[in-house]
Formats: sequence, structure tokens, C-alpha cells
Amino acid sequence: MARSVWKGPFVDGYLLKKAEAVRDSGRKEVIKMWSRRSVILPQFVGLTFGVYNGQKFIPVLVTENMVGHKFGEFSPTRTYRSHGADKKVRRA
Amino acid sequence: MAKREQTTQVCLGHISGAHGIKGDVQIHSYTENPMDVGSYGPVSDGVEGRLLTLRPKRVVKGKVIATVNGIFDRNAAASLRGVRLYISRSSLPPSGEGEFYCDDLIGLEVFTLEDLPAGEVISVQDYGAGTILEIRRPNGQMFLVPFTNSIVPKVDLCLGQMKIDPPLGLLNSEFDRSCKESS
Repeated sequence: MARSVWKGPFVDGYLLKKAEAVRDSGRKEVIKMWSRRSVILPQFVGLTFGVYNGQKFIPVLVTENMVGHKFGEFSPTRTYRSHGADKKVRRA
Repeated sequence: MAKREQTTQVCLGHISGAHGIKGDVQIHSYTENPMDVGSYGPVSDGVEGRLLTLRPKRVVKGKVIATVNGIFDRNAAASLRGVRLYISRSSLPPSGEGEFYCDDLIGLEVFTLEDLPAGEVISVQDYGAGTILEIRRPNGQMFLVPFTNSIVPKVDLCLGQMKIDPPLGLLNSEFDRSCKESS
């Protein structure tokens, strides 16, 4: 069953405080976090989080498209290595 | 600094088995679009220098079914199992502005903006939140860096190096401290 709308999105309290502190300070900093269950809120856009996957912190630069998803979706816990071949990447 | 030797060969996939009785093969393709495995001209097997011309037909369960020139029966096709398919790096079309082939980024030396050696790029990953570079430090530790303009301001393929401006907390605290002290 889906979560009731009246409750609003779930975010761990400590994460909100950390994000607010970094945003207010204007520092370029990675926010280390363990709360993979937290929902990405609009106020997190532009911040970089280090989302723990049980082994290491995966850097996640939050963009508008990620709002509403959970942090854990961007930090896989299983090892997967893709091949390069003709794949191209672009700097964001 | 000496000009970096570019990778001369790029692996496009490998033959994973025979398909049917007419000499078709199944190819595990590493290319972005699996059917592109045959679009860069003849491929070599990398060891014996044999050239194979592939004609991809369709994709079945993630594998590309293709015909190979000179292969007409299942036994001959099965003998190709495990053969890796290579093309020369120069066969790939030039990348657009601001674009990089993953293979070109792997092996680049990484320095901070203060010219401190930070390691070497060992892989390029994408977990859904943008491209991430995996870097191995000289002491063997790994760290991950988002491939963005602000964090990776300079990539020089000719010199084989890139400069990074890691935000606080991205590397371990010891390295962060040494960068601060030097700057």
C-alpha cells in the first residue's frame, strides 16, 4: 500500500539539519549520509550527498529530476561494472 | 610531460556461442546500442589477427545474433565461442565537444588544482545520478568523484591527466587536510 499523502515525504531529521547547515554556509562540501530511505526534497537540489552503500559513500549530485526519489536508488549495493567500448560521457 | 600513449584497441564485445545451424553466432555486445557491434567495420580477434566481418541481424534476450563471413555451419560458429572482438581506436568517430569516450578517461592521471597527485582513473560508472569516476590513489585507496565541470574542471587527453577540485569530505580527511595545508 502506498504511503498516505497527509504524512508528507519521509526524511530523516538529521539530514534536513545537515543540508540546511551546508546550504547556509555556502561551502562546497559532500554531506555524508546513511539514510538511504529518505526522500529527495526540492531544497536538496544542487547539493552533493555521499550516500553510503554499506561499503563506501557514492557521491550523488542532486538535480531536479531526482526529487521524489529516494537516496538509496542512486547508490547501488551490488557491484556492477559496465564495459566502456564506444560509450561516451559528458561533464554535467 | 611525455604525450600519453592512447589505447590502440577497443573491445566491442565477445562471442558467447553459436545460434541455429546456419553458422550464426551470439554476441555479447559492450556497445551503447548493441547492434553497433558491426558498424565500425571488420573486427579482429585480438590474438591471431584474424579479421571478422559481422552482419548483425537482431537482438534476442540481450544478445546480438550475427552472421560472420566465412562461417556457414554450427560447428565453425561454436569454435568462435569466447573470441573477443576488437577494433582500432581510430575507427571510432571523433567525440563531440565536451564529450569523452569512457576508454579515453580510464588511465588518466589525476591531480588536484594544487598539483598534488591524487591517483589514476580506473573506471567510469553511472549509477543513475550522473557519471562517476573511480580513482585509485597512490596508496591503493579508492575514491569516487562526480564527473562535473565544477569538480573536474580540466581534462587533458593529450597529456593524459585531469585536474580535480574535490569538495570537502569527498576524499578522506587526511588527504583533505594535506590539500588545505599546501594551499
